[in-house]
Amino acid sequence: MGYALNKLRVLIVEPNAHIRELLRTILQSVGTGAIDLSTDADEGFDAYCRRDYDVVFTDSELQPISGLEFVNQIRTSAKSPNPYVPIIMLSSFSDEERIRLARDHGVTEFLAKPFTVDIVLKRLEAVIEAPRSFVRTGSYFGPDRRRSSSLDYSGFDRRKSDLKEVTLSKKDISDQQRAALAKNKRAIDQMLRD
Amino acid sequence: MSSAPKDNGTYQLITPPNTLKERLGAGSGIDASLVKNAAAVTDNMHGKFLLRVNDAIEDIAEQIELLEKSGSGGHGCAAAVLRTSHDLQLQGEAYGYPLVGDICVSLCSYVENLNAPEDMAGVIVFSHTDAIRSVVSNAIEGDGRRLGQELVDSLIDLVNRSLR
Repeated sequence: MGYALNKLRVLIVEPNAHIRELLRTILQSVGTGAIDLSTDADEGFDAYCRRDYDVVFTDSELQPISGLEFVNQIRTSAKSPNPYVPIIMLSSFSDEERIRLARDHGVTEFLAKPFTVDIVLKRLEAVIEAPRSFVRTGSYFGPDRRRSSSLDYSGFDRRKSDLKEVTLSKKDISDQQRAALAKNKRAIDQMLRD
Repeated sequence: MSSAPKDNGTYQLITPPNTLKERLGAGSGIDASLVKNAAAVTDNMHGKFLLRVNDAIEDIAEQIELLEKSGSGGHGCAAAVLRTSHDLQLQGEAYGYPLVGDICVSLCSYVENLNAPEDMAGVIVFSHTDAIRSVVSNAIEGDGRRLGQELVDSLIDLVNRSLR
Protein backbone atom coordinates (compact mmCIF):
# COMPACT_ATOMS: atom_id res chain seq x y z
CA MET A 1 0.00 0.00 0.00
CA GLY A 2 1.36 3.40 -0.97
CA TYR A 3 1.11 6.85 0.57
CA ALA A 4 -2.31 8.43 1.04
CA LEU A 5 -1.43 11.22 -1.37
CA ASN A 6 -4.98 12.55 -1.23
CA LYS A 7 -3.80 14.25 1.97
CA LEU A 8 -0.85 15.93 0.27
CA ARG A 9 -1.02 19.70 -0.31
CA VAL A 10 1.28 21.11 -2.99
CA LEU A 11 2.03 24.61 -4.24
CA ILE A 12 3.49 25.03 -7.73
CA VAL A 13 5.08 28.40 -8.59
CA GLU A 14 5.94 28.32 -12.31
CA PRO A 15 5.59 31.01 -15.00
CA ASN A 16 5.53 28.54 -17.95
CA ALA A 17 1.88 27.47 -18.32
CA HIS A 18 2.81 24.21 -20.06
CA ILE A 19 5.24 23.16 -17.36
CA ARG A 20 2.74 24.14 -14.72
CA GLU A 21 0.13 21.96 -16.40
CA LEU A 22 2.53 19.05 -16.92
CA LEU A 23 3.62 19.05 -13.29
CA ARG A 24 0.05 19.44 -12.06
CA THR A 25 -1.02 16.53 -14.26
CA ILE A 26 1.73 14.27 -12.92
CA LEU A 27 0.86 15.05 -9.30
CA GLN A 28 -2.87 14.79 -9.91
CA SER A 29 -2.44 11.45 -11.70
CA VAL A 30 -0.85 9.90 -8.61
CA GLY A 31 -3.68 11.16 -6.41
CA THR A 32 -2.33 14.36 -4.85
CA GLY A 33 -5.10 15.93 -2.78
CA ALA A 34 -4.63 19.66 -3.29
CA ILE A 35 -2.53 21.39 -5.93
CA ASP A 36 -2.44 25.18 -6.08
CA LEU A 37 -0.81 27.08 -8.91
CA SER A 38 0.93 30.45 -9.01
CA THR A 39 2.66 32.17 -11.88
CA ASP A 40 5.02 34.51 -10.08
CA ALA A 41 6.84 34.99 -6.79
CA ASP A 42 4.45 37.56 -5.30
CA GLU A 43 1.38 35.47 -6.00
CA GLY A 44 3.27 32.39 -4.83
CA PHE A 45 4.28 33.87 -1.49
CA ASP A 46 0.77 35.22 -0.87
CA ALA A 47 -0.62 31.74 -1.53
CA TYR A 48 2.03 30.17 0.67
CA CYS A 49 1.11 32.45 3.58
CA ARG A 50 -2.61 31.70 3.27
CA ARG A 51 -2.53 27.93 3.34
CA ASP A 52 -0.57 25.09 4.90
CA TYR A 53 1.47 23.32 2.19
CA ASP A 54 3.46 20.11 2.46
CA VAL A 55 5.69 20.66 -0.57
CA VAL A 56 6.52 23.65 -2.77
CA PHE A 57 7.71 23.30 -6.36
CA THR A 58 9.23 26.49 -7.71
CA ASP A 59 10.98 27.50 -10.89
CA SER A 60 14.38 29.14 -10.62
CA GLU A 61 13.35 31.94 -13.00
CA LEU A 62 10.54 33.94 -11.41
CA GLN A 63 9.38 37.55 -11.44
CA PRO A 64 9.49 40.08 -9.82
CA ILE A 65 12.10 38.35 -7.66
CA SER A 66 14.17 35.33 -8.62
CA GLY A 67 13.32 31.77 -7.61
CA LEU A 68 16.26 31.80 -5.20
CA GLU A 69 15.00 34.99 -3.52
CA PHE A 70 11.53 33.42 -3.30
CA VAL A 71 13.03 30.38 -1.54
CA ASN A 72 14.92 32.69 0.79
CA GLN A 73 11.64 34.47 1.56
CA ILE A 74 9.98 31.21 2.61
CA ARG A 75 12.96 30.30 4.75
CA THR A 76 13.57 33.61 6.48
CA SER A 77 10.60 36.00 6.20
CA ALA A 78 8.78 36.76 9.45
CA LYS A 79 5.52 36.29 7.48
CA SER A 80 6.41 32.75 6.40
CA PRO A 81 4.10 30.33 8.24
CA ASN A 82 6.49 27.39 7.87
CA PRO A 83 10.18 27.86 7.05
CA TYR A 84 10.81 24.10 7.09
CA VAL A 85 8.66 23.21 4.09
CA PRO A 86 10.43 21.02 1.51
CA ILE A 87 11.14 23.10 -1.60
CA ILE A 88 11.86 21.45 -4.94
CA MET A 89 13.40 23.81 -7.50
CA LEU A 90 12.90 23.35 -11.25
CA SER A 91 15.50 24.77 -13.58
CA SER A 92 16.62 24.58 -17.20
CA PHE A 93 20.16 25.12 -15.95
CA SER A 94 21.77 22.16 -14.24
CA ASP A 95 25.42 23.17 -13.97
CA GLU A 96 27.25 22.62 -10.70
CA GLU A 97 27.36 26.31 -9.85
CA ARG A 98 23.59 26.79 -10.08
CA ILE A 99 22.92 23.66 -8.11
CA ARG A 100 25.31 24.88 -5.44
CA LEU A 101 23.60 28.29 -5.39
CA ALA A 102 20.19 26.64 -5.05
CA ARG A 103 21.42 24.54 -2.18
CA ASP A 104 22.98 27.58 -0.49
CA HIS A 105 19.67 29.45 -0.71
CA GLY A 106 17.77 26.73 1.11
CA VAL A 107 16.41 24.56 -1.71
CA THR A 108 15.69 21.00 -0.56
CA GLU A 109 15.80 19.13 -3.88
CA PHE A 110 16.76 20.15 -7.42
CA LEU A 111 14.86 19.07 -10.54
CA ALA A 112 16.43 19.75 -13.93
CA LYS A 113 14.13 20.47 -16.86
CA PRO A 114 13.06 18.67 -18.95
CA PHE A 115 11.87 16.22 -16.34
CA THR A 116 10.17 12.86 -16.50
CA VAL A 117 7.39 11.41 -14.37
CA ASP A 118 9.88 9.13 -12.63
CA ILE A 119 12.22 11.96 -11.66
CA VAL A 120 9.41 14.17 -10.31
CA LEU A 121 8.05 11.34 -8.19
CA LYS A 122 11.53 10.37 -7.02
CA ARG A 123 12.02 13.90 -5.69
CA LEU A 124 8.62 13.80 -4.02
CA GLU A 125 9.43 10.51 -2.33
CA ALA A 126 12.75 11.91 -1.16
CA VAL A 127 11.12 14.80 0.72
CA ILE A 128 8.51 12.47 2.24
CA GLU A 129 10.84 9.65 3.28
CA ALA A 130 14.02 11.47 4.15
CA PRO A 131 13.36 15.06 5.16
CA ARG A 132 16.56 16.93 5.83
CA SER A 133 17.53 18.42 9.15
CA PHE A 134 17.85 22.18 9.15
CA VAL A 135 20.88 24.26 9.94
CA ARG A 136 20.97 27.80 11.29
CA THR A 137 24.19 29.76 11.15
CA GLY A 138 24.93 33.47 11.11
CA SER A 139 24.42 33.60 7.36
CA TYR A 140 22.28 30.60 6.47
CA PHE A 141 19.03 28.95 7.44
CA GLY A 142 17.87 25.94 5.46
CA PRO A 143 18.26 22.22 4.87
CA ASP A 144 21.51 20.64 6.00
CA ARG A 145 23.79 20.92 2.96
CA ARG A 146 26.11 18.15 3.98
CA ARG A 147 25.95 14.72 2.32
CA SER A 148 24.39 12.17 4.67
CA SER A 149 25.07 8.44 4.43
CA SER A 150 21.57 7.75 5.78
CA LEU A 151 19.94 9.35 2.75
CA ASP A 152 19.00 6.86 0.03
CA TYR A 153 17.53 9.40 -2.30
CA SER A 154 18.79 11.75 -4.98
CA GLY A 155 18.78 15.55 -5.05
CA PHE A 156 22.06 17.05 -4.10
CA ASP A 157 23.64 13.63 -3.63
CA ARG A 158 25.42 13.27 -6.95
CA ARG A 159 25.44 9.58 -7.75
CA LYS A 160 25.75 8.40 -11.34
CA SER A 161 22.00 8.02 -11.77
CA ASP A 162 21.56 11.61 -10.62
CA LEU A 163 24.20 12.85 -13.05
CA LYS A 164 22.24 11.12 -15.77
CA GLU A 165 19.07 12.86 -14.59
CA VAL A 166 20.47 16.34 -14.47
CA THR A 167 21.93 16.01 -17.94
CA LEU A 168 18.70 14.88 -19.60
CA SER A 169 18.79 18.03 -21.73
CA LYS A 170 22.24 16.99 -22.99
CA LYS A 171 20.91 13.82 -24.60
CA ASP A 172 23.19 12.32 -27.24
CA ILE A 173 22.00 12.40 -30.83
CA SER A 174 22.19 9.71 -33.46
CA ASP A 175 24.00 9.95 -36.79
CA GLN A 176 20.67 10.39 -38.55
CA GLN A 177 19.70 13.22 -36.22
CA ARG A 178 23.12 14.79 -36.68
CA ALA A 179 22.67 14.64 -40.46
CA ALA A 180 19.26 16.34 -40.21
CA LEU A 181 20.68 19.21 -38.15
CA ALA A 182 23.69 19.54 -40.46
CA LYS A 183 21.39 19.81 -43.48
CA ASN A 184 19.44 22.66 -41.87
CA LYS A 185 22.65 24.39 -40.89
CA ARG A 186 24.06 24.12 -44.41
CA ALA A 187 20.92 25.76 -45.83
CA ILE A 188 21.21 28.66 -43.40
CA ASP A 189 24.94 29.04 -43.94
CA GLN A 190 24.28 29.22 -47.70
CA MET A 191 21.83 32.06 -47.09
CA LEU A 192 24.45 33.84 -45.03
CA ARG A 193 26.95 33.54 -47.86
CA ASP A 194 24.51 34.81 -50.53
CA MET B 1 10.12 12.54 16.60
CA SER B 2 12.03 15.79 16.58
CA SER B 3 15.20 16.24 18.54
CA ALA B 4 16.11 19.34 20.51
CA PRO B 5 18.25 21.72 18.47
CA LYS B 6 21.93 21.00 18.81
CA ASP B 7 23.94 24.13 19.25
CA ASN B 8 27.70 24.05 19.14
CA GLY B 9 28.09 27.79 19.15
CA THR B 10 28.77 28.14 15.42
CA TYR B 11 25.63 26.48 14.08
CA GLN B 12 22.34 25.08 15.26
CA LEU B 13 21.07 21.76 13.90
CA ILE B 14 17.29 21.44 13.95
CA THR B 15 15.44 18.22 13.15
CA PRO B 16 11.71 18.92 12.71
CA PRO B 17 9.38 15.92 13.17
CA ASN B 18 8.38 14.13 9.94
CA THR B 19 4.70 14.96 10.28
CA LEU B 20 4.23 14.69 6.53
CA LYS B 21 5.01 10.98 6.40
CA GLU B 22 2.85 10.41 9.47
CA ARG B 23 -0.06 12.18 7.81
CA LEU B 24 0.28 10.24 4.56
CA GLY B 25 -0.58 7.00 6.31
CA ALA B 26 1.13 3.72 7.04
CA GLY B 27 1.93 2.91 3.45
CA SER B 28 5.20 3.59 1.69
CA GLY B 29 6.12 4.70 -1.79
CA ILE B 30 3.81 5.73 -4.60
CA ASP B 31 1.44 3.10 -5.92
CA ALA B 32 2.96 1.60 -9.09
CA SER B 33 -0.35 1.61 -10.95
CA LEU B 34 -0.69 5.35 -10.31
CA VAL B 35 2.84 5.94 -11.59
CA LYS B 36 1.96 3.99 -14.73
CA ASN B 37 -1.19 6.09 -15.08
CA ALA B 38 0.80 9.32 -14.74
CA ALA B 39 3.27 8.12 -17.38
CA ALA B 40 0.44 7.28 -19.79
CA VAL B 41 -1.20 10.67 -19.32
CA THR B 42 2.05 12.57 -19.86
CA ASP B 43 2.89 10.43 -22.90
CA ASN B 44 -0.45 11.55 -24.30
CA MET B 45 0.40 15.19 -23.58
CA HIS B 46 3.74 14.69 -25.28
CA GLY B 47 2.01 13.30 -28.35
CA LYS B 48 -0.33 16.29 -28.46
CA PHE B 49 2.66 18.63 -28.29
CA LEU B 50 4.08 17.02 -31.43
CA LEU B 51 0.77 17.63 -33.22
CA ARG B 52 0.62 21.20 -31.93
CA VAL B 53 4.08 21.88 -33.38
CA ASN B 54 2.78 21.08 -36.85
CA ASP B 55 -0.29 23.25 -36.30
CA ALA B 56 1.89 26.10 -35.04
CA ILE B 57 4.18 25.92 -38.09
CA GLU B 58 1.15 26.00 -40.38
CA ASP B 59 -0.29 28.98 -38.49
CA ILE B 60 2.98 30.86 -38.91
CA ALA B 61 3.10 30.02 -42.64
CA GLU B 62 -0.47 31.33 -43.03
CA GLN B 63 0.50 34.63 -41.42
CA ILE B 64 3.45 35.04 -43.78
CA GLU B 65 1.23 34.23 -46.75
CA LEU B 66 -1.34 36.77 -45.56
CA LEU B 67 1.32 39.44 -45.19
CA GLU B 68 2.86 38.75 -48.60
CA LYS B 69 -0.52 38.76 -50.35
CA SER B 70 -2.00 41.83 -48.75
CA GLY B 71 1.16 43.84 -48.10
CA SER B 72 -0.57 45.38 -45.12
CA GLY B 73 -1.78 44.28 -41.68
CA GLY B 74 1.84 43.57 -40.85
CA HIS B 75 1.35 44.41 -37.20
CA GLY B 76 -1.30 41.75 -36.77
CA CYS B 77 0.71 39.14 -38.67
CA ALA B 78 3.89 39.85 -36.74
CA ALA B 79 2.03 39.74 -33.43
CA ALA B 80 0.48 36.38 -34.37
CA VAL B 81 3.85 34.93 -35.37
CA LEU B 82 5.37 36.20 -32.13
CA ARG B 83 2.57 34.75 -30.01
CA THR B 84 2.75 31.34 -31.68
CA SER B 85 6.51 31.22 -31.54
CA HIS B 86 6.63 32.22 -27.88
CA ASP B 87 4.09 29.57 -26.94
CA LEU B 88 6.02 26.97 -28.92
CA GLN B 89 9.16 27.97 -27.03
CA LEU B 90 7.42 27.30 -23.71
CA GLN B 91 6.07 23.98 -24.95
CA GLY B 92 9.47 22.91 -26.22
CA GLU B 93 10.89 23.57 -22.80
CA ALA B 94 8.11 21.60 -21.12
CA TYR B 95 8.10 18.53 -23.37
CA GLY B 96 11.81 17.80 -23.66
CA TYR B 97 12.64 19.78 -26.80
CA PRO B 98 14.76 22.67 -25.50
CA LEU B 99 16.35 23.01 -28.96
CA VAL B 100 12.90 23.95 -30.27
CA GLY B 101 12.81 26.49 -27.47
CA ASP B 102 16.18 27.96 -28.51
CA ILE B 103 15.11 28.21 -32.16
CA CYS B 104 11.91 29.96 -31.12
CA VAL B 105 13.87 32.43 -29.01
CA SER B 106 15.76 33.42 -32.16
CA LEU B 107 12.52 33.74 -34.14
CA CYS B 108 10.91 35.83 -31.40
CA SER B 109 13.98 38.06 -31.31
CA TYR B 110 13.73 38.58 -35.07
CA VAL B 111 10.07 39.59 -34.99
CA GLU B 112 10.47 41.79 -31.91
CA ASN B 113 13.35 43.74 -33.45
CA LEU B 114 11.90 44.44 -36.90
CA ASN B 115 11.96 48.09 -37.92
CA ALA B 116 8.41 47.66 -39.18
CA PRO B 117 6.15 44.59 -38.94
CA GLU B 118 5.75 44.62 -42.73
CA ASP B 119 9.49 43.94 -43.03
CA MET B 120 8.98 40.43 -41.69
CA ALA B 121 10.60 38.23 -44.35
CA GLY B 122 9.24 34.78 -45.03
CA VAL B 123 12.68 33.40 -45.84
CA ILE B 124 13.95 34.24 -42.34
CA VAL B 125 10.83 32.92 -40.61
CA PHE B 126 10.80 29.72 -42.68
CA SER B 127 14.47 29.06 -41.88
CA HIS B 128 13.34 28.82 -38.28
CA THR B 129 10.21 26.78 -38.86
CA ASP B 130 12.10 24.38 -41.15
CA ALA B 131 14.62 23.87 -38.36
CA ILE B 132 11.83 23.27 -35.84
CA ARG B 133 10.14 20.79 -38.15
CA SER B 134 13.43 18.96 -38.67
CA VAL B 135 14.11 18.76 -34.93
CA VAL B 136 10.65 17.42 -34.11
CA SER B 137 10.32 15.01 -37.07
CA ASN B 138 13.71 13.54 -36.22
CA ALA B 139 12.78 13.36 -32.52
CA ILE B 140 15.84 15.37 -31.49
CA GLU B 141 15.17 15.78 -27.79
CA GLY B 142 17.54 17.73 -25.61
CA ASP B 143 19.75 20.56 -26.85
CA GLY B 144 20.96 18.79 -30.00
CA ARG B 145 24.51 18.90 -28.59
CA ARG B 146 27.18 20.81 -30.55
CA LEU B 147 25.37 20.69 -33.89
CA GLY B 148 22.16 21.88 -32.31
CA GLN B 149 23.90 24.89 -30.85
CA GLU B 150 25.68 25.58 -34.15
CA LEU B 151 22.32 25.53 -35.89
CA VAL B 152 20.94 28.03 -33.39
CA ASP B 153 24.05 30.22 -33.78
CA SER B 154 23.58 30.23 -37.56
CA LEU B 155 19.96 31.30 -37.15
CA ILE B 156 21.03 34.09 -34.81
CA ASP B 157 23.64 35.24 -37.35
CA LEU B 158 20.97 35.21 -40.05
CA VAL B 159 18.62 37.27 -37.91
CA ASN B 160 21.32 39.78 -37.00
CA ARG B 161 22.31 40.19 -40.62
CA SER B 162 18.75 40.66 -41.81
CA LEU B 163 18.03 43.27 -39.12
CA ARG B 164 21.05 45.42 -40.06
